[in-house]
Order: sequence, then structure tokens, then C-alpha cells
Amino acid sequence: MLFNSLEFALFFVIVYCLYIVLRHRWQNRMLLIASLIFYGSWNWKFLSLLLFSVITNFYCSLKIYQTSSNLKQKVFLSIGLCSTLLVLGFFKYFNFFADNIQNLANLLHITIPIYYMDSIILPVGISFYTFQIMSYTMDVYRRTIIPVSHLSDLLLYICFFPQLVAGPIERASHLLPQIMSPRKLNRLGIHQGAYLILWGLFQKSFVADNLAKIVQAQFSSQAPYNGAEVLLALYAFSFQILTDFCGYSDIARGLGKCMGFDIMVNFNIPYFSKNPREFWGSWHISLSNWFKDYVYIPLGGNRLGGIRTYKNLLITMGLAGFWHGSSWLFFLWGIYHGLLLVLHRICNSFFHKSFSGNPIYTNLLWRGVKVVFFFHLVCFGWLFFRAGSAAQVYEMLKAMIYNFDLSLPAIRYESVQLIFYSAPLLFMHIIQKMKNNLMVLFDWPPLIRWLVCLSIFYFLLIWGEFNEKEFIYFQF
Amino acid sequence: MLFGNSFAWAIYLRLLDNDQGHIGFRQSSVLYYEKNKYKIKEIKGPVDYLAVGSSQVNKIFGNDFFLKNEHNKLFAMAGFSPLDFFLYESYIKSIKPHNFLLFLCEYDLAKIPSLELIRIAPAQKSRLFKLFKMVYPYRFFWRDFKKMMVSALISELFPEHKYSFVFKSFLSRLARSKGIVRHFENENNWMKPDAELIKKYEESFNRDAIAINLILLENFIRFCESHQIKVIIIEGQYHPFYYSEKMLLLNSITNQHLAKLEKKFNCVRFIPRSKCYQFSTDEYEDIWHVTTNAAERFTEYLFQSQL
Repeated sequence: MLFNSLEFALFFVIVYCLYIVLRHRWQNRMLLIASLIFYGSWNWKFLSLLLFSVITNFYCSLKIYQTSSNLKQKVFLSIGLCSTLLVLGFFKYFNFFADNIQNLANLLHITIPIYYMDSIILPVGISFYTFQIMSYTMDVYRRTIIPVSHLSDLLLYICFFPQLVAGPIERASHLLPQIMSPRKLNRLGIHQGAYLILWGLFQKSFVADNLAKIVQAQFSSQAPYNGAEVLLALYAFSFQILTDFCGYSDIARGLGKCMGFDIMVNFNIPYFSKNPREFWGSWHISLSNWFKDYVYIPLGGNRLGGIRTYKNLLITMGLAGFWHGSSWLFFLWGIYHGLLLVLHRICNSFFHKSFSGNPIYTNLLWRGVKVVFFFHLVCFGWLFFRAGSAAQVYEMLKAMIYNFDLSLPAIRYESVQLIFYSAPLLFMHIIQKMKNNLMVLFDWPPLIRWLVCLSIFYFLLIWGEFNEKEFIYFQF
Repeated sequence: MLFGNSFAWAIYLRLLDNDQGHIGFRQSSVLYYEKNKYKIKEIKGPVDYLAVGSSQVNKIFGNDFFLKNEHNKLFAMAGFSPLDFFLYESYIKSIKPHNFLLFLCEYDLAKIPSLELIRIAPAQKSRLFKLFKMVYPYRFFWRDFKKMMVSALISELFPEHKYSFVFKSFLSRLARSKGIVRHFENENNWMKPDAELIKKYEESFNRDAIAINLILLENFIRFCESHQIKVIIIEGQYHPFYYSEKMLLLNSITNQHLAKLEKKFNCVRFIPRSKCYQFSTDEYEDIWHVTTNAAERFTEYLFQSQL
């Protein structure tokens, strides 16, 4: 049941009608049932995996909280985390590791009987809910939260349908209190929610799904490539992946707001970042924060000197890359961003020492140059993320260096399309950045606000793609 | 105001003609249909023969021999398929003919109907669900159909979505007139088809589509039966260069089905290709369309020998 499908529209109308007539406790029960139906609509068999992970972690968390023995706490923490990670590891990485072991054995001329499971289907949203469950158990272990006494509360926290299959990866300290106490519906919240749903659908159906055609055409074609077309496809993919995922997160936030929930912001205009640090503070914020809190800081963060910090950054980003999928290309993408973070740390201290008093350093033009430069570094990284194989990465890079021909008529046509579909988004992002407010629309007079919403709606009606195309992050 | 009057449609038709590549063939047909639908009231008296179908039908029956009889009418749109029989049923019904002339073959019946047709067709309201139910057993088609339902339902509510091709075409026209983008056409090598071209041509046709199209055709025949309208199915033809092995196989399947329809329904008459005037290769303008003279010869033969 996709957010951009007819079934979901009907589903949400029914859920919302029930929601507004029920009282708090019954609201939660209804939301839990609705969320299980929502998840089960993909494949009801995978509900058992979800329930297994939640129930195991519920009891482990209670035991961690009840016992004072450090050893027992660690044992229960390990049981909780391992049971969850094993499920994720089996469904997401089993064949990947089997394949790599086989390759290694072939290289070493050793014969190992490797068992492949061709029929493994990746349960939708498993990477997201696994991390959410793990964060809950680890937070209980760290005593930053008190475990819930009702299983249904934890189940709703994990399964809450707006954020179940593609995040944001909510923290228990943020979402659980909202589940456990009555929520208030107000007109502003509903208006903001409706706007976020509209804006999210606009990002998905107008920007992402239209740009997907340019991206698909290029990445599904065979070499030889034209470098100019590859570059164009990378620009298109940069906006496609942003709007596809940000669109989903905004719809999730919008649905939450309509019901009185405050779901965290997952994207904060990431392409206006001047450096990798800013980028990872504004791109998939919930995942970045998760890796920062549960991997980077426990590894020592930046407290153990330069070299250890760089090592920690590379490990964290490599794992973040792997989280996206069982492929070495995702790992390389993560390592690439890790290297950017390391380089930024090295360069930043040098630049800061040398130019901190220089007016050029704070000049708007210089900041613009940095934004454009860093945007291109991000685009380069997307090549690893989107390409189907290392050979394709190589061929595309080769084309960008040796075969860059701007004279093809298709380039002009695709460039116009790229500008047309991304311009409204960029325009909105510029305003949001200038005002430093994602909900800047609500600072404007009602007439302007309605006109903007009407324009978004009409752009969506005329140029939107309503073909229930899946969100990219569903595959992770 | 933008879509509810013939004046607006006349402007769109004038500005967005197909020749300059601003608009698709079917979209162009929709412009003609929308402009002319306001003239339905002018159709008086019984219509003897109503030829319904694709641009092939337009070529075959859009000639002096057929249309000089004022009781013969023609309703043809680019890519008109059995799905359109359902979508344009009320319009066809409003003409009240005695006989329908359908020019059909594997070319029409073995092609998966384009779902875009549902969006740009006249408003269906609750009939959409009837269609939904009709195609439900055909899972491979139904999955795509289901995806199209969102767009179809939005189209029912907002004509801006239904006729979004008008806005898109204006923008495309503007971009081309300002030299921002250029229109480039594919090389026309249809007259010398090599194996690759024929393979590409064949890709649009598949056996699974026959079942869906037959369901829709049968539904239309039932509608004709209930209104005492005779249906004359004339087996269609296209350029013989493209009668490949796959197409001939599909032809034999569709022929059997059409012959069965003749037996199943009293109102149906099927005239196979073999019993009709057969076009020679030099009578074709392109793969699917014949010259005006050839079309006149065909209609003359049909009316004098078969009807």
C-alpha cells in the first residue's frame, strides 16, 4: 500500500474518520490494527518477523531495566540486538555473504559447498524498523528511557504506519510520549499536515517520477555512454532521490500532523550544504543521528585523536553505506562520504586557521561556490549508489572524461526537462533556506499561502505522474 | 470554461496540430472529437452504416464512396481499440446506427490496450468500476490498470488532469518556437523492413492481450445486440511485409475467435481477409494506411459484393 496509491487514500480516509471519533486509548488500538493491516498488505507473512523482533526486544528491555546486574543487562541487550540483527542479516545479507565467500574460495582454489537461498524476499521496511527497535533497547540499556509496560505501546511505536516502511527512524524518547499521552488536534496542525502531504506528493509525482525517466533511460542503456548524458542523468538522479525520499518523509510527517503526532524532520534542504558535515546533518537526519549515537560515539567519536576519529568516520560511513543494501557499491558510496568527512576535517582546520578573519571566507559568493562544488561531489557519489555494477561506474566515468559531447539534440531536451521539473523545488528550497524555516509558507498571508498551494496542486494535476511508482527507499 | 465548449477546443485544435510534433496522434484525435461532440445533436435520422475504429478505419471508410451516402457515418480515432468501444459507448449509442462496420484483426486484438486511453476518454463515472471488474481476472493487465485508476479517478474530478496534454503541448510548442528544444524525427525506413525492424514491430503484440480485447469486444457486441444493431467485422489488413511468422500465428488465433463470435451472436457477421478485397503492396501509404484510391476500391468492392 503505497502513499501514492488509491488503496492508501481509501485506507487513510477510513483510519482518519475512526481516529477523530475515538478516545485516546482506542485511538491507539485502532492505529495499531491499522498499522498491522498496512504492513500486512505487502506480505502478511512478514508480520511474524516484525512481531518477533518487537516482542523479543520488549521482554529484553524489561529485563534490562529490572536487573541491577551489569552482566545480566549485557546478556539481555545482546539477546535483543542479536535476535533483531539476525533477522535483518538473514533476509538482507545472506546471499551477499554467500556469494562473496564463494568468490573468495574460488580465488583461493578451495571448494566450499555454499548454500544459496534464491527465494529470499527482502521484507519491506526491515532496515528501518530493525534500527528503530534496536535504538529502543539500547536507550533502555543506557537508562535514557524507561521501558514501556504495555507491549501494545511498543508495537505502535515501531509499527506506526506513516513511518513504518521508510522512516524517519524515530527515537523512543520522541515518539513514545506522544503515543502514551492524549494528542490534541488543532486547525493549524491539520493545515500543516495537509500541506506536507501535498508537498510530499508534489515532490514524488512531479519531480521524482518525471526525472526517473531521464535516469532510467541512461542507467538502463548499455555502454558506450556519452559523458554529457551521464552527467545529466546524475543531476537528475540527485534530485530524484532527494524528492523521492524527502517526499515520502514529508507525507509521513503530514499524516502524523493530521493526527496530532509530531514526526521528526528527516531532510533539511541538504543540497544547500557547503560541506559533508552539513550535508549529513540535513540528509536522512534520522539515520545519520542513529549512526552517530549508536556507532560513531561508542567507537570513540572524535575524542581519541585525529587518526582514530578518521577511522571512526570511515567505519561509521562504511556501515551506513552497507545499511542501504547488500552490495559493495553501497559500501563504496559510504566510504566515499567517509573520506569526504575526513578530508573536510583536515581542510577545515587548515582553512579556519589561515582565513578565519578574511572577509572572502564569509562572502555570499564564496559560500555559493562551496555549495555548488559540494553538490557536485555529492552527485559523483550518487554514481556508486545508482549504478548497477562496478563496470557501469567505470564506463560512465570513462565517458565523462573521454567522450563528453554536448551537441546531441537529446541533451538539450533532457536539460530543459531537468530544469523544468527541478526549478519549483529549488525555488521553494531557496526561500526555505533564506528564512531558515521549512514551514515558511505558514508565515505568509493566507491568500499567498492558498495561491502557492493551488499552484502546487495544479502543477501536480497537469504534470504529475500518477502511476503508483514505488519509493526508492522501499528497497532498503 | 477551458474545456467545456467547442470554441476552446477549436482553438486548441488550431494551435496544436499534429504535424509539428506538438501532440500525440491520439491526443490530436481527442481534440477533433471534443470539438465535434457538440454537433451530435445535428445528426438526424437513422444511420445505415457507422464505421468505428482506428485511423485505419478512417482511411478505409473516410472516402467519397462511403460518405457520399449521407446515412453513412464515420467515427474513428488514432489507435482506437476494443477498450474504446467501452469508453465511447455512449457517444456511439447516440448516433443510433443500423449497422456497425468494424475493421479488426490481430493488429487491434493482440495489442495490450494503452491505459492512457482511459484518462483522456469521456468521463466514465461509475462505469470505471464496471471496467475494473471486467478486467480483474486478467492479473497482468489488471495490475497496471489498478495503477491507472488513481489517474482515471482524478481525471473524472479535474479536467485539467484529463486534458493535461493540452498544457504540455502548449509548453512543448513554446519551447520549440523559441528554439529551446528541437524536434527530431526518426528515419522512416518502414518500406525496407529488416529483421530488426520487424522484431521491433512485433514487440507491441502479444497473445495475452487477445483475451482482454475479446472480453471488451464481446461486451460491445452484447450492447449492440441489446440495441438491435448489426455488427459487421471485416478482417483488417496492413502492409504484407509485416505478415511475419509471429503475426500470422496471432492472426490465426484472432481469426478463430472472430469466427466463434459470428456463431455465438446472431447480430455478428465476420468477413475474413480471404473473402475480401486484398490490398497490394503498392496500395499502401505506410505500414497501416492505404491510399485514398485503394480505399475507394475496397469500399466499392465491399458494398457491391459483401454488404
